[in-house]
Amino acid sequence: MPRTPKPKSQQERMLLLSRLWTDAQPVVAAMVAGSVIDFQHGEDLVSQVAETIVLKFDHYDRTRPFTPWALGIAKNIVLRHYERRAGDRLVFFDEGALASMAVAHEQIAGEAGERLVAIRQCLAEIRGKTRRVMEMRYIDGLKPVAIGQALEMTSNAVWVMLHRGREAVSMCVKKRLAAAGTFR
Amino acid sequence: MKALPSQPPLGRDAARDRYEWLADRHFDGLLDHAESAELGQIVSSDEASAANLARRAVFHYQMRSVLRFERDYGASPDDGPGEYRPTDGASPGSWAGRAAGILMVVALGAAAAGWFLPRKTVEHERPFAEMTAVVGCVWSDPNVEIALRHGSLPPGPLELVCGRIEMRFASGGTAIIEGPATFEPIAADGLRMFDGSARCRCPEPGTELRVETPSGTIVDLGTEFAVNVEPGSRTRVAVIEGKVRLDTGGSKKPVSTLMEAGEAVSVDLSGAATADDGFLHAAGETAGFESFEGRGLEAGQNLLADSSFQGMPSNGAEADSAREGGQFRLGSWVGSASHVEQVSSPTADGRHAVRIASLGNRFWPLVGQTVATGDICGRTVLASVKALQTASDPLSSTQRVILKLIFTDASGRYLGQAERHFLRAGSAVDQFVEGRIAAEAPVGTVAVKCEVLLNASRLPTGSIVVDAATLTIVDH
Repeated sequence: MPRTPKPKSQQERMLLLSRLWTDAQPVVAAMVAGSVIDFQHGEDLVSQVAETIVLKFDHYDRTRPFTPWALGIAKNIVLRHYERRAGDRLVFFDEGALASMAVAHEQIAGEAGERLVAIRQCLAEIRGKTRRVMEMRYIDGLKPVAIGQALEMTSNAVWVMLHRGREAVSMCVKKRLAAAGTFR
Repeated sequence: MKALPSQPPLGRDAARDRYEWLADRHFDGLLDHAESAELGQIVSSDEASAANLARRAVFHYQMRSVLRFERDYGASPDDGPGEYRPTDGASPGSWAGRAAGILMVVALGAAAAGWFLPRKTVEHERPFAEMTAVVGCVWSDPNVEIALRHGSLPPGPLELVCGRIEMRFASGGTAIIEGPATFEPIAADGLRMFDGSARCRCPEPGTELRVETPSGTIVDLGTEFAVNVEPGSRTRVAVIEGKVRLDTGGSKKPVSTLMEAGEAVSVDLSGAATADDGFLHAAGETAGFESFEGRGLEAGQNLLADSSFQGMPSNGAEADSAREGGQFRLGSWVGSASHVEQVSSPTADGRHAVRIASLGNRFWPLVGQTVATGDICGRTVLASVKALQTASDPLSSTQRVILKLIFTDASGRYLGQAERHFLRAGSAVDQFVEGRIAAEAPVGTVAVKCEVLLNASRLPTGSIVVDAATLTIVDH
């Protein structure tokens, strides 16, 4: 891993930080989103990770890759979030599980780029009620019960529709990436 | 409503099936605490499962990013009748695919870079009608809820599936709409009802609110009335207090009728009106404006510990950790790090209060407390708090204070919520204002979280001082 050059000015520092974070952000955000189910909380936590990275950027060892460093900060912030939520019994993983997830995200970090384009193309093929249910789940962060109430469906039917929609996208992505020779 | 399957399917590889079952539900928030811990154990002990779960997390995150991107940049496909229709679109390796990918990555990267910087103050035009309170609302289009919560007003008719919303119009009139209902705020003093029930009030002299219905227009002349629209059939109107004017017959044969308190009519689509005492009785039985605030109810003991924020804060020596996602702690109160601090002036009740500041980096800084209530299914929970904005750091744009109740079950699962929005930009400064919200606890409620949030909108300025919080269960 080549050493990231030390920035000479504040402007260079911000440009470097922006470039590194743009690469790392999807990985960090995915890790946080997978550990904190509430989308709003997840967004707030990613915002806190970004804020901490700005504050701590001078401590970043430029001989080492940036994304694992950012994932480490994210892990600590998610852990603190869990500590705060402990009384609510809304936490998910312990520290060990979170550390495993951070490592796993670091290992698969390179896989995401091509898949993003394929996901967009495959999502365009999901229409009608399935599309609506997926938008309610992913854009608005509604749980299946709330989606069911809004669409006069059982929560079970909503979950099945979500599951099938995701399966359809997943299969489509695999097909497209295989056709392009980039499937992993 | 049917419950989700509570057990994983049986399969040849029980452990793998169990993991798949847990992982599938994890991303929809359907696991309880024990199941989440079990999933955590699996990923801690099995690298392959951890990698699989990480890939799933990336997949879900990317789905969310793409769907949001398409909504924000208007690239959604046409809504069609089919469920899943394979097409011959551009492959990832094609020029079109790459161009789309580059555009999206640039846009997502720009959004990502935006995380670093506090937003500059952007003055949004205040809409002519704003949400002031909601209890258990579900909308046919969830974007409506998000827009209203941010202080915007979505265009077009709004379909409320269930729950109740209170809206305040710029003219000073207020309306409670109870779902199921379809309605559209059309002007600073105008509401159009397509279907369902509303209760309207103009508390101040000189304020006016018009309600347009398929049968005619009801003009509130400083009073309170109830209206119910049965689409394709009739509109029922009952005057609770004061007077209203009922305009029927359209522009060809306009007829104006003055109605007084205690009168009710049913108006058909031709404009013909008949007395409707049944609706007057029904309107008297339904929840009115006071129900949103729990006025007149006999509240019990305040369940919040340290309701006047008198305790010793424990974040003073943790400034650095606070920046890493630490928290403000004051006895049982927990708040957003860096954004919340205890202050000794101004106060509404006692020697201390807390200040919540917008620092340009958070949407919803808050202070809150969770109270174990035991089973309170069906009982009314009432919360109140006093908040103040200072002249030196006033709220701006769509910033406001939100008092929120969150109901959870024994597993910590979310059951429902109620919110009161108050103290906005332009409200009185250096003066405590009380916000109140009352809601019925859903089935299964054993704990209530009471939060006071600043809708900060990631603006760099604007702060509130919060004091005298209460949370009570109303005595039967």
